Amino acid sequence: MIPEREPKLLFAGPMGAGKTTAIRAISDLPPVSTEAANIDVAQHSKAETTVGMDYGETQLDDGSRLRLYGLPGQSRFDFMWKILTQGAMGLILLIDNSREDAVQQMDVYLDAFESLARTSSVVIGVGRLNEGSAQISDYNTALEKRGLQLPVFGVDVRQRNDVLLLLETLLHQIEAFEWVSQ
Amino acid sequence: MFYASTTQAPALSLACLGLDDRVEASLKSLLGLLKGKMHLAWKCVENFDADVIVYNPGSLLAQALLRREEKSASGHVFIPCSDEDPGQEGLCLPLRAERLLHCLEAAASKVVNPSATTFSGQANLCERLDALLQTKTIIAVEILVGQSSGILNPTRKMILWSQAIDADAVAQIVSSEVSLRPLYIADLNALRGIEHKLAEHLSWDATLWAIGIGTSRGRLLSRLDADQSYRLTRWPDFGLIGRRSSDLKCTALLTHKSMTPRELVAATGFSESRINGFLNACALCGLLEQAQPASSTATARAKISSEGFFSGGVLQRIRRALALGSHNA
Amino acid sequence: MKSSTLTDALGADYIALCSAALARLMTDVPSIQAAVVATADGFEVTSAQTNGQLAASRLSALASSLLALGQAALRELAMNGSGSILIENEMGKIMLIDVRRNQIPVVLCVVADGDAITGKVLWAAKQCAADLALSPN
Repeated sequence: MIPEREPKLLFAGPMGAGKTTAIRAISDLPPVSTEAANIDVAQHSKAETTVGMDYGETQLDDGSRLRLYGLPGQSRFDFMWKILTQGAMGLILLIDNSREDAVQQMDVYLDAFESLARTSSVVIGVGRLNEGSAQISDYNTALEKRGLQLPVFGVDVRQRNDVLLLLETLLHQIEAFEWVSQ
Repeated sequence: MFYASTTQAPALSLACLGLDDRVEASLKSLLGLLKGKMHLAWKCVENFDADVIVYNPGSLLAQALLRREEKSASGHVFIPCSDEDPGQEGLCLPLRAERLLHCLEAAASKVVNPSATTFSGQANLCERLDALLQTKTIIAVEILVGQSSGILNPTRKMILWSQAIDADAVAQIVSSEVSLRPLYIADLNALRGIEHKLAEHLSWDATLWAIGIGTSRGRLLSRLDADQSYRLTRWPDFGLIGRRSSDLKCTALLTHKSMTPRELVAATGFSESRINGFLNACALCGLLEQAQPASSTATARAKISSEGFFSGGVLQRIRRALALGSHNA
Repeated sequence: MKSSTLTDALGADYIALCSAALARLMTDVPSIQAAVVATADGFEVTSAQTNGQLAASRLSALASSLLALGQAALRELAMNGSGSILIENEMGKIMLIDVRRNQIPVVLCVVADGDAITGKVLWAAKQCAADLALSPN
């Protein structure tokens, strides 16, 4: 694999989990968004939903950019997931714990992004932890069943520090995996 | 021939709380440079009941420790350190030697009851608690500190406490005299009675982690072996514990590869006391398990660097752009 | 998503209006093989086609993503207003048109064969889009 000159990070997760918010927290400029009026209010009561992608950038000191891509949440846009996964360095998966199927949602996304999960390039941020019945230990159990050991943290992506925690952890994961694979 | 009296120069202990790895490293190197210029010697420690704590004002635990100090006036000194200049009594980034010298000398005059520089024989809280948690016949541990108390229930991985505010409870536990009372199966009714009165829950991971990091005093738990390979069974929830680069780095390594404490020191470049605190915290939280030693070719590998095959210097550039902790101690 | 949700959101009258508009489009321009009306967030409202091969719901999702990305590009260049996208190769053309409405916005997706004359198809599609922008009487 040829290393990308400009590294690329993905943000995925179900609707309303906070992907756009997370990117906004670290993007230098307001992110480009592709939102459309949300019809499927049964899924989520949000007024708008991402149908293309969110795009943000962080300038690096050699002039290159860290590219940040927020993927649309619903699986009917999984063609976007396939397109954007190409060349991605890592994935921050955001889950909304207030949903009843929150832990199963994590499984859906880990299936879709299996290659990134297998190379430890995924961290999982669980939002609204206090609003649902699942606890972090339930996510860890689900990961164990898949033979994965990924970081799972309770976060609030409206707090920049929480987004940085996810990002920093992802970098350490990528580094550690690479080191043991040499 | 006669012996000169070997009185030790008085020394004060200094710990960092919530500081970026690079800032900590910079502080330690400045301390080294200032060595000859100060009246007292300074010893860097990991525990949170150090004489002087240099803290990040944004750290919840630091705020809680500060509240405790204001109430109890136990003679510990807190020095804030942040990007914005907190004034002459605090440190501003980037660190400057003159300001550090001024703050430390001022702190030295305020410290009451400087901590002993030699290791005291009494087991630290981390060791005492771990010993109880490892005892199979114990069903719970009652924790008594000051006016507060709580129950630690290892089977249900639950900590019940008498007051709210996680950070204040944890601050109290890591900085004061703590009594531990084991409860056995015969005490089951008493346990239920105590639990019934306690309304608040503390986070298991966050509390035990703080005890491990903050009260280990740099020593590995006696049941752990510096030459035994260990690995982690899962990631702790750093969302609750708080972000410290060295913790994240060590966890990432130890979830990918089993290592001995010595190998972890060599791979990361962190100090032995830092690594010991980390491993103790993992052990206390129940995340550490013994493993088969990795193959000899693997152990001979050099220290982990960010100049990896795929990532090149990319990861370091990202860290710098977002001011994340560096991978070097 | 349940069709009842769609009917609630758009109204049965409007859906009927869309079906009628697509029927006229298909009749007026024989080289158009298929046409789909979708909600801006990618759900199929109604479709028409000559040979029954089209996966209309899939195309609905693709159309909404493509148009949204196109709109984002236009915004970056401060070229505000609704837009359209033309995608083509030897085998045919796809036109995507953004339909602004007072109510829920929709997208029109038109598929034409390789012999189709671009200008003619585009004109007819834009006429259809103007019909879709209306409210039902």
